[in-house]
Amino acid sequence: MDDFLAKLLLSFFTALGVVLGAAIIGSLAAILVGHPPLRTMTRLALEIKIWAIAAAMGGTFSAIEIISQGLMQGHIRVLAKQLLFIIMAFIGAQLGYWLIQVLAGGE
Amino acid sequence: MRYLACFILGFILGACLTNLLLARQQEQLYLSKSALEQHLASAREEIARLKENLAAESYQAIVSIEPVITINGEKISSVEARAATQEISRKVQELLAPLIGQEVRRLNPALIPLMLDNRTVKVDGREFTLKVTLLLVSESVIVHVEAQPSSLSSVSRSDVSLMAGCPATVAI
Repeated sequence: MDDFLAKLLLSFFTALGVVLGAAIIGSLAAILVGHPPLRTMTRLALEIKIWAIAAAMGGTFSAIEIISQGLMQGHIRVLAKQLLFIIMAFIGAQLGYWLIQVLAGGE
Repeated sequence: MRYLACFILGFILGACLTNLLLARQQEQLYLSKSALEQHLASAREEIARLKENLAAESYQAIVSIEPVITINGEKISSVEARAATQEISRKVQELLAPLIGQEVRRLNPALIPLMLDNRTVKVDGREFTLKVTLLLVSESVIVHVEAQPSSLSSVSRSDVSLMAGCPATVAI
């Protein structure tokens, strides 16, 4: 159970970190080349969101493989776990995007 | 090596922190800059258009002289009058030829009547004295000229000289 919780938190924070890191560190490039930083930040956060989920899952192929195994062999528990990881990663990515948006003065 | 890593990490963190602190201000400045650039571009465009209009308006040059001759005084035959009108018209066009190509705005219209008033034109042995009665200055100069046969004008020479002081009606 602890392992499962750790994996959940790991996927959550990985997705969050990917979005925040990409947006904040990526926007440094915008400053260096004279582009608007906040707009670059929000654009990066939006674009990277889906990749953050994929990165938090540890690559899409393994996740898809596990899901297919769960479906084909009827391992509902494994399937549910995988879905939870995806949902947590999605929440982490969404939270990161929301934080960046709030920082940029939107919503 | 660890110090270098710490330094780079600190540098990136510091840059990120500064970025987060100043991003909003920088964004505002960037927006103001682009708004000002847009404003400047539209102002430049407007100036260029105005300059074009001004140039088109200001350079209005005289392209033709259109004399309107009226024969006054003693009665002459229609054929003679026609010939005199033609010859006087030609003479007036010749006298006012230097005006062609002149810019209308820079032209002093008061000088035009002085170029014609009291001039004598000889047509078929008859002399006509000219007097400008109306002048319209635009791209084509329309000049109304009264021509008096010399026999009459020589009689009333003083009248002519007096009339010479009266300016013709000038319209631009």
